[in-house]
Amino acid sequence: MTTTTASAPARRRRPLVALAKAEYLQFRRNTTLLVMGIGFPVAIPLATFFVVRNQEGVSASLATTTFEMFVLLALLFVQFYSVLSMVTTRRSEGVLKRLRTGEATDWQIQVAPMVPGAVITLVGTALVTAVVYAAGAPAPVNPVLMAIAVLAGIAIFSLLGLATSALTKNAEAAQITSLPIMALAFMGLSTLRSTFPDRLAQLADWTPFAALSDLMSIGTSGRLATAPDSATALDFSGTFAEIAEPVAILVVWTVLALELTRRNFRWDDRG
Amino acid sequence: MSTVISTRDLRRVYGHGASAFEAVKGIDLDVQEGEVFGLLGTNGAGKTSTLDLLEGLSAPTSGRVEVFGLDPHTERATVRPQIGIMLQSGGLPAELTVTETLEMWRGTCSNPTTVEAVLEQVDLIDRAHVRVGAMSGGEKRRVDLAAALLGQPRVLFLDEPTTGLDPESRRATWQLLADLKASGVTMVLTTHYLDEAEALADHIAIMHQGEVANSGTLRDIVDAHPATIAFEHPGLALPPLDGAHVEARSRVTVSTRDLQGHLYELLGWARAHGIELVGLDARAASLESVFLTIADNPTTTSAPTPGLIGAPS
Repeated sequence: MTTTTASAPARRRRPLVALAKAEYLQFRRNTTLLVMGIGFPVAIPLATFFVVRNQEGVSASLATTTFEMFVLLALLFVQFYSVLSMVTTRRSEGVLKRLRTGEATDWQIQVAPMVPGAVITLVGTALVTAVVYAAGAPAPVNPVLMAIAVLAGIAIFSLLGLATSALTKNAEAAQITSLPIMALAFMGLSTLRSTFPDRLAQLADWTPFAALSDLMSIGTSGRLATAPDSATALDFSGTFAEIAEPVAILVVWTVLALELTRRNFRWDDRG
Repeated sequence: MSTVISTRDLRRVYGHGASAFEAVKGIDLDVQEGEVFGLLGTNGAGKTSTLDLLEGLSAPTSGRVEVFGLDPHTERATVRPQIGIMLQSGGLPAELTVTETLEMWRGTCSNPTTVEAVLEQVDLIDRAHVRVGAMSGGEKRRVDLAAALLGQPRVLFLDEPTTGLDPESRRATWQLLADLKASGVTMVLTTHYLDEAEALADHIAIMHQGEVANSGTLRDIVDAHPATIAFEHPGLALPPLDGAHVEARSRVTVSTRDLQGHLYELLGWARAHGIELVGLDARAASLESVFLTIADNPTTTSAPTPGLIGAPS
């Protein structure tokens, strides 16, 4: 008997890797996504960071603001928008329908378009974090929370991209259909929330980006960005007590986005 | 020989209530291992809907479908590695090259051959690094076929595999499919080209309005169908042609199961009367004439008896 038989797989099958690699190649060839995804989210927060640092000096709250801006731009313009436009394009090209005729599972087909955005978001996070702390920002209180925020953000905004794609005819239409999620995300910016009247601010606290922003803020500076200046900063162990609400909000949004995707996702333009 | 694909009273209804549309109306099919099964029919006859059910892409509304004795929809994970599917259109990312596309597909297969091997089979080696979006329709069709072959399937489903191909590529594809058949691959193919079905298919089912209107081997189907003799009406009473169905208008059309006998009688009668039969045309039934008879039939209210469609009653 020979060592290989026809029925034994010659190698370990890795459908997700193959699909994600193809998505990455297509991402790289899409100039719009590249400029929006790489230049924009990294350049703007870092430029702001250096302008403010040169005028007022470096502080934990400046680091918080920089990270918040980066994460917002990365999640919207890299993660959310790339998933939305790539999945929509694949569907109108008939690629999703064709992939379903093969051996890849549904979840592998759906996760593959999230991978390029996730990789770029993670690399951008590493880059921005390295620059901010190399430029003298005070050490973070709890880096674990910052990591949780970025990972949860990638998951939620990817799923929202899949769900939004169900309502999006083609890549051009994505410019319009992306607006509700864009608005939802911007509502969670801490600088906006602190200017809102109480009722609206309470509502805005429940938006997904508000929860992410709160986690980032507690992790970076030990206090909420929306808290009054007199509030004292928490220490490492103290931060864990404060995160129940934002974590619960993120769980709710993850479940909601999963459910929206499960119900509305379309594989084929015809039906 | 064993049965690879089998359906019983297979039905598929789209939509609900008043807008419900029954695309597949109770189909029974059996495909034996190693044969090529041709599914023919007009546009909207239900060929692609039937194929979707056989491939497990959609679940039947009622009835049963088995591939290798398994349900292709619910037991998809077990069935898929053994089948290759070529959809009717599209599904190739425009921005990837042919090789990149096929490497992506290869990565999803559990027992794939190499990309070079399938490119060789469909004769696209010299186009390997061209962007799919820059290819002609016929070339894309061959990439589609190459993808379906990558997983080394035991059963191939081909939805109009040569539509959009130039005549030379069409012949090349026929040769490739004939080679695959010789190597033991079972195939189900739909086509609009009757010569394609004649060249490739061992068994043929002609669908009409969601039902199988006629099925069997090419010979069965053609033999069960009457031949026709036609000529311009000579203006005097025609001879009696026993068992033939005669439609005498300005042009006479005779449907007969005894082409030679009736033709002999007619020609003898014409010679005896010193008449020339203008525009004389005599032909045995062909798949085309069977197909056209079925396609022209506007309503099929009850399930017809296989083999008797279009036959004189």
